[in-house]
Amino acid sequence: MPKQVQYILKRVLYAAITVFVLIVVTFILMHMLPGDPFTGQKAIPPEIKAALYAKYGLDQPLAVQFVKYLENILKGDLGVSLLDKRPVLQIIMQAFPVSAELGFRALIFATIIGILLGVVAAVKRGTVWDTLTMLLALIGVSVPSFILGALLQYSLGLQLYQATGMQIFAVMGWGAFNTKLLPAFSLALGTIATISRLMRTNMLDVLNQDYIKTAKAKGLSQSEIVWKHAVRNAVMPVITIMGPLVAALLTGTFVVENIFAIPGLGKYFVQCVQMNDYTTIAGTTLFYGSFLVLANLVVDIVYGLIDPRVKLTGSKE
Amino acid sequence: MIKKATPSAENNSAESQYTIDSHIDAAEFTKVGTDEAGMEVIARPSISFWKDAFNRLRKSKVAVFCFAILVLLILGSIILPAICPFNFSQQNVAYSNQPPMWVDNVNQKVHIFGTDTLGRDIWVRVWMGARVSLTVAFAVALIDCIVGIIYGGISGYFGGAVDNVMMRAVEIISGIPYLIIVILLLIVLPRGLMTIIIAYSITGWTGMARLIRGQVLSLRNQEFLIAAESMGAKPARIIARHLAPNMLSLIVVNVTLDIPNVIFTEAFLSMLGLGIAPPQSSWGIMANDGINVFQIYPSQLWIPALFISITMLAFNLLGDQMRDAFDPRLRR
Repeated sequence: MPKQVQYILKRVLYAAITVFVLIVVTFILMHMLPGDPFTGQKAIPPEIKAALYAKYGLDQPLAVQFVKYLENILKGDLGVSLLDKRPVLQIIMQAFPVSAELGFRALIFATIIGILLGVVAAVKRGTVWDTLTMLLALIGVSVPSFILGALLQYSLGLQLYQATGMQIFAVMGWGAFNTKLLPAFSLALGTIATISRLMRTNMLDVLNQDYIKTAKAKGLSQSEIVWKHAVRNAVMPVITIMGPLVAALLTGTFVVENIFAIPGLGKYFVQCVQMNDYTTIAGTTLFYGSFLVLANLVVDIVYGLIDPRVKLTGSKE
Repeated sequence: MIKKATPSAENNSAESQYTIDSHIDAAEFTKVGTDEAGMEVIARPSISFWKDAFNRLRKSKVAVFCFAILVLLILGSIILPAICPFNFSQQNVAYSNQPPMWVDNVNQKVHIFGTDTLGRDIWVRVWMGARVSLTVAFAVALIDCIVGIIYGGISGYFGGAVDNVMMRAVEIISGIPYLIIVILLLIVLPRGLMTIIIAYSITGWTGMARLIRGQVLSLRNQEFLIAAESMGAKPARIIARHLAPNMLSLIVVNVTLDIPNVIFTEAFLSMLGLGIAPPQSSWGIMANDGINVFQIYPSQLWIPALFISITMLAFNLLGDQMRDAFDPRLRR
């Protein structure tokens, strides 16, 4: 058991260091930006400028400023948006739940469909089903979400509405259930592709194992072999790529939210990037970064806890 | 040798055993023995690993097809913008938003893919965009690959404390979300092709470094390396001459599969307005422009979308096929 505690502590430590590095990088990059907060159309007299610098602590050495910055972050103060003068943290708290819901829907959808497709492709290897599934997966890997989103919006959102007169899929916005289908699907397709390809490879590996032969020899039915013996083992590696998948979904929200006009954090972030709202960019970046590091940490720990090999080495020593 | 010797030995014993009641005259037979010279004849040319892999790749229609598409894309991006009668940034508002194959009524020149909102010829812009996308993709893949090989090679080769420190560093760097660092860098650095390449490759090499390190670790204790070491080869020579060739297939496959990701990132960031600066063209910029007018002029999105998707698909498929061709377990 100490081995496992050690493992978790190590992971937590790395995550903390990563977040720290991220804070340092953000801080340095934001200081590398040309100009300063008081550069405007009107020239400010040097005395007033000096007073302003002193007020905001900008006359201090960089190290002192960094400590102050760190202190503020720990207090939850990420600064004030240059665009609409609201605290950055408040903006994040307001917009992130929308993004999180979209991402969560896409993740659940992608995991279920991806695993199903992968299993079907592996079990029916070499048949039309296999070819079709893998073709779909290839398209999913190759068509970027922003293109897919626009195509779906046009074909299913607009054309279908014009053809049938029923708004089955809303074109944009966020609220009623029919507004959530298209964004979630365009966000999920890439992930479906990744999961189904990985799942197929794993399943093929597992289906060649001896214990599957044993199960067959015992006279278990095909479905029992597949779902009880094969899938459970083949699913394990899918968990390891959950971290990168969450990152990919998060990246996807930047574009999908813009295309479908969803008031989430991704849309807001892109807007800030385009408007050069530096404090919000820095704050949101830190938030995204910490969120992803945390997601990776959770995945690592969960995998470490459920992977029998990690347990075995733990009990041996 | 053994295979041929055994039947002849059996032959001898059979001869002695059945001579008496056999009515076949032993004189009718001549002893064949073993043809020492014939055994040395090379029946078919020896096939090296690379030749074998290449042959298998050539037999796969998918791989050849993808390769052809990529060659066409590369050649097209080099040649076509130069021979096209239009300039990629030349605007003509009077000719804006024309459909594909539109012939302008003054010069009688054909706009193969039509024109965009500012009256620029889409055909030229697509090929100029191909230049940007492919340059960025190849440059980033190359830098990732070189840095990854050097870093992973050193880490895996020296092992121990060096490996420990270097891999912990990689773990921390790869923990930082890739796209966030890229976006931050693109905001801070001046816009341009170089910036994009630097920003993309700054964190992209960690995957390659990990892969190479693992491979080096497994190759490190093999006899040919011990032999090279005992003959006094320096680490740099061992990494470059002995380790790298053994990992080449792994590297080639991963670079091929890395390229579509870079193309995607480039298109994606251009869409956010963080890619290359207008009036330069890139597939991402074109797709973004296309999305704005998609409901009225769908071809303006379809064209860049098709180029992006086909290129990514070709690289992905080629990478998959190469992985199969290089897999020693699938070797005949």
